[in-house]
Amino acid sequence: MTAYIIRRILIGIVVIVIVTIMIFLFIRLLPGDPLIIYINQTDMQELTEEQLQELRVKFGLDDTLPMQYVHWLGGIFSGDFGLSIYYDVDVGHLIRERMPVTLYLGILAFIISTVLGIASGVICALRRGTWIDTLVTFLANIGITAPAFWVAIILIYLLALKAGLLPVSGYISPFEDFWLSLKKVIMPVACLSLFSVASLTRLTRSSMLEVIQQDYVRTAWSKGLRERLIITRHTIKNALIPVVTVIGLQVAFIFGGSVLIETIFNINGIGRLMTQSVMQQDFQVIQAGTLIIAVMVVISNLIVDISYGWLDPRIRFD
Amino acid sequence: MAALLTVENLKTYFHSYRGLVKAVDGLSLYVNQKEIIGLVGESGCGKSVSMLSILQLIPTPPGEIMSGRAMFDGQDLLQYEAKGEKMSSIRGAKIAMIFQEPMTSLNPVLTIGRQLTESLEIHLNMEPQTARERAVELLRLVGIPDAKDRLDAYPHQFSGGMRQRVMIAIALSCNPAILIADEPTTAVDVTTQAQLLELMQEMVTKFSTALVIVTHNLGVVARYAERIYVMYSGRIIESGLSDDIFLNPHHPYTIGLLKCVPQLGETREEKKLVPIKGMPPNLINMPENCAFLPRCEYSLERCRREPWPPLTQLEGQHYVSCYADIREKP
Amino acid sequence: MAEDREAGSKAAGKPGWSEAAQHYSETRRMISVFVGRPLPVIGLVIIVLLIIVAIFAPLLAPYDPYKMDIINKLEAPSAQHLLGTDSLGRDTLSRILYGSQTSLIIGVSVIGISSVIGIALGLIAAYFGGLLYHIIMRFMDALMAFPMLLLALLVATLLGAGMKNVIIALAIGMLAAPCRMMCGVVLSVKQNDYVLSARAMGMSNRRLMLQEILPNAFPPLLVMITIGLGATILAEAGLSFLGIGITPPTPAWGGMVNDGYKYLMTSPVLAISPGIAIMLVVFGFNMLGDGLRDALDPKLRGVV
Repeated sequence: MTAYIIRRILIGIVVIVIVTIMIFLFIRLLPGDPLIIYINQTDMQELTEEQLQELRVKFGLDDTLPMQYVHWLGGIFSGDFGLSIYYDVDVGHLIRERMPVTLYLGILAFIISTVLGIASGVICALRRGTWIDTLVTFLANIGITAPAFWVAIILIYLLALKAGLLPVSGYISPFEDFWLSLKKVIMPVACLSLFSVASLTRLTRSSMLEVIQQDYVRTAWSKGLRERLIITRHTIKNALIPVVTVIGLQVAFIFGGSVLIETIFNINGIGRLMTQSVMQQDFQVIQAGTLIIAVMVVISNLIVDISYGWLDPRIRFD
Repeated sequence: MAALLTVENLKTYFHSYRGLVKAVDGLSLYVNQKEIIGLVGESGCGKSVSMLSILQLIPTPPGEIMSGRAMFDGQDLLQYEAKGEKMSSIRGAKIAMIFQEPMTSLNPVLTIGRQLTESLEIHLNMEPQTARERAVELLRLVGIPDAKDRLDAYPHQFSGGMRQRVMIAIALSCNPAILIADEPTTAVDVTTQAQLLELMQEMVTKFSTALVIVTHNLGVVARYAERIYVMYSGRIIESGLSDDIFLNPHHPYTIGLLKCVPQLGETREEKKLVPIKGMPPNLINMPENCAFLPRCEYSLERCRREPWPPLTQLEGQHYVSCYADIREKP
Repeated sequence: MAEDREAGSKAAGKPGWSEAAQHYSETRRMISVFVGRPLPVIGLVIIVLLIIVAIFAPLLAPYDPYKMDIINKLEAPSAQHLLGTDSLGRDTLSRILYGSQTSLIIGVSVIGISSVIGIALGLIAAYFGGLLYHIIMRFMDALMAFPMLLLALLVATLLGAGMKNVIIALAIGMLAAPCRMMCGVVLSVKQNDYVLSARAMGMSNRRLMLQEILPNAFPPLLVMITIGLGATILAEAGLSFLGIGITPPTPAWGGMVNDGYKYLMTSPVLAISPGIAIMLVVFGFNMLGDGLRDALDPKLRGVV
């Protein structure tokens, strides 16, 4: 098992390195003067060529590309993510401000979608053909087709504007005002987790159905084990094996979803920051934000991979 | 002495979208204490289904046990609820079964030890520690080396033959009265086959368990079975003592089967291997008359007109389901 | 050798009634599995309708989707405008019908490009193995580290607006899936006897890859394409909702939801109706994909 873990960690590190290179190159290879990464475009127009050249040297733009990459990476490690052109603050500060919000929503969505998704999938499989199965499967099929942003709008229309039950938008930390925070958070989290719950339900259901037909389940019955034991010990763990890989994908998906959901609900998280920075061409923010998100995705996939090894001994002992 | 298990007129059908498949269509047999019997027939004749039906392991959406009784210990097993408490306490404890596919019959995410001890804990109420010790003993008995260490190993770390041994150990762990072995050696090579059969005989003698060997290979039961049932198309078409069947077969199918089995010591000149012509029958839309008719060399006009012949006694325990007299080959 | 037999003889363990299946061809079985269930058929019907609508939009739409009629702006659904008009007086229904063209074009282009490139990369990587395989795999891992929407956002905005750039952006985002699928197929097929014997006969690498190995990917590929089309349309809707890519006044369902969002209280139809169109289409693709997957090989669930 340790060999497996070490191997996955090494691969993870390699992937993160590639990610950093991709981000770096992407920003650097855009058309136009690379100075716009650091300086506001309108400001730039007012400077003379010599001043521009001075700035280029200051920001290390006269170095070779690999050297620039190393400097940038070095900056990251020492916590320096650069300066936001638009907000005129340290990017690191911006991220520290926004990240917890996104994480709060994202983790809530992740937990809800995983627990709810797997539970309903198992129930559907065990109650196959009954009205519960039909209903939940139907809902799940809708859940994977409905665009999250549209559902958000409908929810806002029905629950906030028409019924006035929930606030339309905004975010408050749960530490400030728990109940208000809860009310503000329900709709965004619901929208964020919708697709994940639905697809995990479907997947778990079909995985369980497949496992139930396996020979080893028949063996378990033939040994005289009771149904409850067969379900808990002989089927669920097996059924979760393909599901776990998909759970990992949900992390990336939820981050992606937060880009839309935060915009709609006016929540100041990383997702919204990304959208705004892209509009405002605030490159340092884009760089840093994308990097952080990507690294988090890689790390959570790593965790998923490792738990996959724990679930399936065939992977461990190979 | 009354038989341990008596199956009477078992009928198990499957509802498929192409029609009703009559997998088992009126099967009767019995098993005495400590007996070794063979249930022989080609692939698809319903022998596995019949055994699975006794233990109610047939998936009941497509399958359905239409009628019949399986008397065990004075109770009709087929009246029990398939997933109920009573049936579960019979399975593994009184009647155990091992299956054909050792690769897939063991749960890949549980250790061998776990899969052994759970029967012991459930049926014999053993404490975990005692169960583990017993499990080690059982593994040693079936010939697994380094039994104590192997207890925490996973199925994929064993070879097919080893896994089948583990299955035997699991099946016998609670000292059942009957062990049903469904094609236990089909999926392993010949050497392992011989070893497994020897092991099974040794074990059932030691544990005083009756053994039902289900197989399509007559050679497998030749050495070990005391009585043999020959099955075709969902029914028993010949039954008797081992000698009756091998030395004095009466049903054209049995004769055909024997002609297919190579015998050690005979050269090719002495005896050619003759396959039975024709294909196994489609179990949907079966004709009323004898199902073997299309492939039979001894058929009479009577066989065409009349329904499937009933099992009639020839002599002693030898029964056959045939109108023809095989000594008069047309 | 015993292991091969063991691995291959699972079928014999099933009850004998399955022998009857031998008398029927495999294709007939697949077709009957497919049509036996209502959902995939409904999916197929929806997709066919979608294609018809997209092709015949000019004939079907009651109005020109670009024609503005400010006087009649923000009208509720009526006999004249079945779904009302938007903020510039354009007929919503016509815009939705024309929007199908946008969705289809983008969907097909994105899936087409990403599938071709993804499969090529996967085929080469898994076939030749070694360092090349690891490099390509890690690259795909890195690509998958970016949430697709974010990736598309970056690429589309920084490359500029326009349908072409949206297609490139989404195609990059969808690259990883066909690549990994192909790798899986190649790896499982590579050691098969018919491949080894073809190679022993001196078949060139290229022919081997294209003729022997590639066809194995068609079933999962078909399913992946179908589901991928649905996913692309969802993603594109998200992008155009954010205002990226599809330049107005081209009708795009996501963009229409964005426009309608502002008038949610007064004219909810504007925001709701394009969303229903999106849902219908994605539903169709998903159900079709499910049906195909079940007909071709139910074991693909979770993989594709």
